[in-house]
Amino acid sequence: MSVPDPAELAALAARLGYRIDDEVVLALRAAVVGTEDAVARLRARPLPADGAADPAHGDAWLRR
Amino acid sequence: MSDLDAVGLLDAYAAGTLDPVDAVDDALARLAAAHEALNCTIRVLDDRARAAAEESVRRWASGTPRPLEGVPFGVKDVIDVAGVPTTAGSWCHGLDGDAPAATSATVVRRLEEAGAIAVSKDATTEFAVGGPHPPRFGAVRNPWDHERWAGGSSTGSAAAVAARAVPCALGTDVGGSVRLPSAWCGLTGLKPTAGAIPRTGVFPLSWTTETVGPIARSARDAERLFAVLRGPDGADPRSGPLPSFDVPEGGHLTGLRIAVPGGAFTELCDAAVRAGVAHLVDVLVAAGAEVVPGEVPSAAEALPIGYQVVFTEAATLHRVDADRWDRYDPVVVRRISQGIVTPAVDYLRALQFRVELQRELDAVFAGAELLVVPTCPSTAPRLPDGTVVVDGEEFPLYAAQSRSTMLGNLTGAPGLAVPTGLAPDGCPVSAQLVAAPHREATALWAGRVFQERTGHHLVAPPSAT
Repeated sequence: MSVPDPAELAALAARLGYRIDDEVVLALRAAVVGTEDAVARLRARPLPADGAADPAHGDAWLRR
Repeated sequence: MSDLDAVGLLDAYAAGTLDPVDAVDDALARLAAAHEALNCTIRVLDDRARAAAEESVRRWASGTPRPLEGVPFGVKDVIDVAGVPTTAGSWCHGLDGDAPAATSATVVRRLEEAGAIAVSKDATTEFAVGGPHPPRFGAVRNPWDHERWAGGSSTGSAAAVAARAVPCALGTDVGGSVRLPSAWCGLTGLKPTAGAIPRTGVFPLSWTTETVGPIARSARDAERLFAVLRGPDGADPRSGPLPSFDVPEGGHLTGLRIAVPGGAFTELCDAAVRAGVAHLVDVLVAAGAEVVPGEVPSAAEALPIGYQVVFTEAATLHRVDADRWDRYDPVVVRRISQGIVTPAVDYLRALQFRVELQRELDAVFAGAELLVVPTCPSTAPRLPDGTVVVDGEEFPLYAAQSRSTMLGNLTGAPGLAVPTGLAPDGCPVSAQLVAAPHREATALWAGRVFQERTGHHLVAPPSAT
């Protein structure tokens, strides 16, 4: 799957309450493209089978 | 007196060879000179500081000094000081412009209740996430080389401490913003465990990754400051009860096990930085520590995934100002806008990854008390474009700077940056001691022993001597 085109990203940003100009949309898209490999690796990575699916474990780690 | 760290100042006050009024006057004069050379200060708190210094003199005279009585400190300008505006380095920092803060942040209040004296609001990159050239206040130059940046985002705080204007300052750290400018300015900077220090009264950027931390000239000062700053305040929901904080007093590290991971930590890392890490390890081993195996297999993913968390949270926090982004630093907009379009499933997967990274750290900490890694891959970035040079090759700032620091922000683990010497270009290099959560004492212990056996933290920039 490729990153959505600038028009789609601009529409999404507008729907979410952000008014950003075309230049920012292009920069935003470039940043998303730049991290897409790392994010794709994470999407494909299996979750650990020991309950780590709940992000609350991340906060609990800091309270023990 | 500019050569004295906070502990040195306290010793001088106790011996009667110096008093807080003279020290504050000296700090204010040095701040003025440092600002003229470096552009490090947003506001000087002179009247407020002088009044506090008079009170400190009275307390020393009456034999009732508090733990940090009369120690001047700087405050990054994302942290509230009562009666003083908090600009966050921006034209757009609130709906009421430069209105003064009604109350001080918990961290400022705690230092002041311990007798320390706030003398300045220090320059920050815009909202602690912008580039080296914030539109409102401009770049902060590095005391070691005025053609370089002091680093960020706690940029003015580090420059002022390195310039020997103040012994210490408060910064914030979301991807390395205490540790990186500390590294590039030859200082000792502590990013504590997430939640160890309350963030009440701090302009927020990312609730998952952000901490307040001290920027100091020695590990012993960082220890004194952290002891005062830590503990819940009843207002920050991420700040809860803590275990005790006891830094061993001995100068021997017998029984301390250190892991020195490679992989992502050293793949993009200048030879001078790697030599500094090796030097730190050698000194710790000479003091009795043992090197043991330990790797963090997913460390390379910490930077992009950590930024995804930071920028998504930052975009959420800044949506309220979305109609004013045209007045933001364009670097801020470019960085945080990507967070607008992060799918919820990716953000939550990133938080799950945070747990996986924590478990990788658990595996290391099962056999070691500390990780020793570079703080950052290079010496300070060049101005105006902020590029860094690694083994003769130039890299963009954001591709390099947080490679070793974001791990601590994403997981919440504490890290102490300590200077390890000077590179051939004459600028400082730094290594980081990473500990398990709430084991800051172990990192501070090793850092203090290293500094007792070496003198890198005592070396001042040529412009400050």
